[in-house]
Amino acid sequence: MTLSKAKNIDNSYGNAFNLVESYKEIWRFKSFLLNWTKRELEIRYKGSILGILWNFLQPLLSLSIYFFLFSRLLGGEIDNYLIYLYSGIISWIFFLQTISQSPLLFVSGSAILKKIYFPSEILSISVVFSGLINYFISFFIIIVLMFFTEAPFSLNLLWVPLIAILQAFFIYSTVLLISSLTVFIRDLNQIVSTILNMLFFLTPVIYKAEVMVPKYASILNSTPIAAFLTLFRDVIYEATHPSWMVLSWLSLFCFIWYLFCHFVFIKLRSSISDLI
Amino acid sequence: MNQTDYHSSIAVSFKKVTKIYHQELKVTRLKEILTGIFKKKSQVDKKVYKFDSVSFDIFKGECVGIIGKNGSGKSTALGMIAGITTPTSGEIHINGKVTTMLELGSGFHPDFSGKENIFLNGSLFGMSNYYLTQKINEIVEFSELGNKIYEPIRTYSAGMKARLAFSIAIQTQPEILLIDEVLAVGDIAFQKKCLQKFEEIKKEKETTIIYVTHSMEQVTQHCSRAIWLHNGKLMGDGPPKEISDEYQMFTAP
Repeated sequence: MTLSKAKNIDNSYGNAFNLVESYKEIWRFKSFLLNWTKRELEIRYKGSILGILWNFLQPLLSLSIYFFLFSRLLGGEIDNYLIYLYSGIISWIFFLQTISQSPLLFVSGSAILKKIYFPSEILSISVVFSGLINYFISFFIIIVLMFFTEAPFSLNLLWVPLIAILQAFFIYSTVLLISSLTVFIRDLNQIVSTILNMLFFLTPVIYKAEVMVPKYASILNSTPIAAFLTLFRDVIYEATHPSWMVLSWLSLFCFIWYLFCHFVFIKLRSSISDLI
Repeated sequence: MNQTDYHSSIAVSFKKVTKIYHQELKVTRLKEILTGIFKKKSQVDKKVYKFDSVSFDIFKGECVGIIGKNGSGKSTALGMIAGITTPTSGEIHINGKVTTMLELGSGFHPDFSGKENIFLNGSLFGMSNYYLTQKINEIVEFSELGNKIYEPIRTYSAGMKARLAFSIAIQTQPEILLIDEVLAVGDIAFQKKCLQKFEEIKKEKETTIIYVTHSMEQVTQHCSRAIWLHNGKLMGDGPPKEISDEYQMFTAP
């Protein structure tokens, strides 16, 4: 009987927690994912003279400000402060740029979400992809800076792709959660931006926790964001192998976090288009 | 017709489909969805029935016009067939590839050129970039935009946008085509061209067309069947002439 084989909206794409089906459907829309990501990267600077260059000029500008303000204060304590600072900023900006877009992701995409069917995860994935691309471009810039500051190089740099993908996975989960929850609780938009502001100072991006607040260093260094920062800094700045401890704990945490976020997203998904 | 033939000839099947919009606070709604604990009926939850236990079967190759006044559930019906929104209860079976033409050009970005938007919007319909590259000349030709295609969409008139959007959507080679008042924009000549295209794909590929419109003339001329909805309830289902007469009798003061 053909009908039993036919796509039943209620079962195959409703509330069922079926990861294989979900990702098969996303794969069918891969061209859209590609085009939408390209749009994400271009859109913010469309019509500006420097265009897409702004994507990594911005982190560079904040780098020079922080360096100007804090190198005298912290430079004595931290060797090659420029690279220490920039490695922190790259990891932090990846997090900041993506998460700050997440609350209004579905609300701003309502024009298409309400009119055309497509897997809505794609909006989250493309935010992460565009962040990932900026991350790698910044990575090449820091390599150049390391060359000029005579920083030590090591083969441990090869760990960067893995660290980036793990962080992207963590961000993707978080974006899924925040974007779908914000549809129900609009206040999250304000809450998230406030938290991001606070997190910047609570994360050892521009400082070293051991130097600034030795008493609370272990707490500040153990948040997931700080953990990603530490991994990245280990291979770039310290030129050492990333800590197996941190790496394995973080992987486990990311996996559980993903399952939780995706579960919430799937529960909420079918109500989203009615509420935006 | 035996049982198997009957089932394989169905394109869209609604079985007691109900869609409820909740008017309670969104936060309360969130709590209910996540915990699975729903409030008792006595408490304040105003439910709005957008769709009330509606059943019908639409067969392959049919052209069905859905009529009814504003807010009667016509667009909700299309949204549920497309998979944009899900029913609260009941079953919907879809047999075939669905393309929706609801408010064409929703995915357009004003600052990108027509050509860039063909890829953006076309892939949103599930077409691959490779396929779109092959079809681009056909799309531009059908849209009658010529060199305008290299200019940003914001310089287009509403009619031009509609023409481009239609030309993209029609390339999906749908088996089930959902159309919601899209022909209201665009000039008469282009409307005619679109209707001609519908006739063409209906004949060629046995495409099922489901059509929401306020124009009784279009329903009687182009559709083989009409479905009349009123406040989420099925009021009539049958030959277009009969149903549209009934509907006009009903709405006349």
